[in-house]
Amino acid sequence: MLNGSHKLTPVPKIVLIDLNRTKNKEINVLNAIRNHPDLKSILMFVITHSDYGKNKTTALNLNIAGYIPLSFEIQQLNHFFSVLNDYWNIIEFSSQK
Amino acid sequence: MEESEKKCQEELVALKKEFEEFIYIVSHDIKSPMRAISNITTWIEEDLGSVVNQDVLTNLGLLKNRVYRLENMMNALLELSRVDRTELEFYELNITKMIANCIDLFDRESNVDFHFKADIINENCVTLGVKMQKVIMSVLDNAVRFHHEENRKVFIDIVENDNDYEIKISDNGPGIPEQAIHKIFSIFYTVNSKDIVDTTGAGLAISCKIMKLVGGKIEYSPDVHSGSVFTIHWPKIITLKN
Amino acid sequence: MNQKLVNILLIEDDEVDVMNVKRAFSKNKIMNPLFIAGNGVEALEMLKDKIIPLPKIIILDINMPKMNGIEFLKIVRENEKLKNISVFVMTTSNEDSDKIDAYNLNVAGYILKPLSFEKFVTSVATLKNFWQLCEM
Repeated sequence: MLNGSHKLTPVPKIVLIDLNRTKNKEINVLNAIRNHPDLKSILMFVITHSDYGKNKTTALNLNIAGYIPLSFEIQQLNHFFSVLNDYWNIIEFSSQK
Repeated sequence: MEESEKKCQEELVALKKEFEEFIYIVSHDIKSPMRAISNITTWIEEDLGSVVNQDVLTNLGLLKNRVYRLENMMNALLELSRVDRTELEFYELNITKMIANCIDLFDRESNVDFHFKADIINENCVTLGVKMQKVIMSVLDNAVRFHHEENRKVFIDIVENDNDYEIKISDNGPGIPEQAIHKIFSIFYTVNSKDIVDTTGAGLAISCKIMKLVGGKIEYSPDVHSGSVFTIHWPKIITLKN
Repeated sequence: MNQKLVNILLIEDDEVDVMNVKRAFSKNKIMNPLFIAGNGVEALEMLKDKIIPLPKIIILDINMPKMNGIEFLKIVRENEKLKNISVFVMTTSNEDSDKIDAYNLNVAGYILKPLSFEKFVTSVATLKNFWQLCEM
């Protein structure tokens, strides 16, 4: 979606990634984004359900903006999105498309 | 003759550049100490606690308010200096829709009756959309803000001419006193004391500069009954000097 | 969720702005150990020579003497030991070029210092919530 025929324009400034599925696949996505010249400065937030450890280190090495443990209970989800939304509202982005 | 003309031109360009750099630096670097004054005032207020002379609190409040005005003036100066340097993208704009959106932004907060009439064939136009919107918003803001009546009315009429769009924004407000008319486009000039109506007074100055940039014009005339009429002539074709 | 409080390094040359951060932190009951460097050069020394314990969070101003924030950030991102520290820019600069440079160096956020202290306290509160969410 970020590349090729289904490309989103304008390129998003924030990407939220669920790292729970096939762990390796998602890490590859993170790597791919960071290595892509047009996409490497996107702000990335990663959520995970499993115990992080090794994944967290890898993610931090890619300068993920936030590495967030999350379980999908309703109260947690509300809080999660509310905090993220507040955060996204206080930070600045360039006006470059 | 040509030589001296060329020299004059070069000097003019250099002067203009210097002026804009000056405005930029002034409005940029002054912000830090301004913020410090505002913050420290807040800290003093907090540290004084609840048992404090009312006069002291009033004065601290005045201090913060004046710094807030300073900030607005700085931002206005910055905006003025940027008029012909930023947001110069041409794109296709539906003028009727854009003005309707502007009106929408005001509709919610104010108790104003907007009457919008458009007599246009070509609604879509490739133009400096951001700048146009800025001018419309500034004039509308004035119309809404400087109003003393209970039932406030603002009329927006667009007419399409061969070479431009003529946008007339009028209101049934108090109008502008005759002795002030020639000053209204100066930056920071406000008809009322800034203690009564809290506004920076830069909207028209910035709009005026934008109109010069696009080769159009903005004019004021008093309304037949009372109230103000601002007429904006927005050219269909805009050529920017380099 | 009991976690050890991570170290925060503030790189800021203006003493009033340093006080700003300290006061806003205290108002928001942020108890993390806070270290201060007056510019990029000083900060690098503190980090490389291990004068301070390694911070997990850096709050970075951009306009500073000797070495500005972007230059500092470039060096940090090239240093194996320092490159994965989360960096939050806190600056007066509203310049697009600075924002682009900062995000190209993968900062976690870019915050403009607001004029009023009250607004700043609110922003810091949001920041604190975000840090807690990330269990930083």
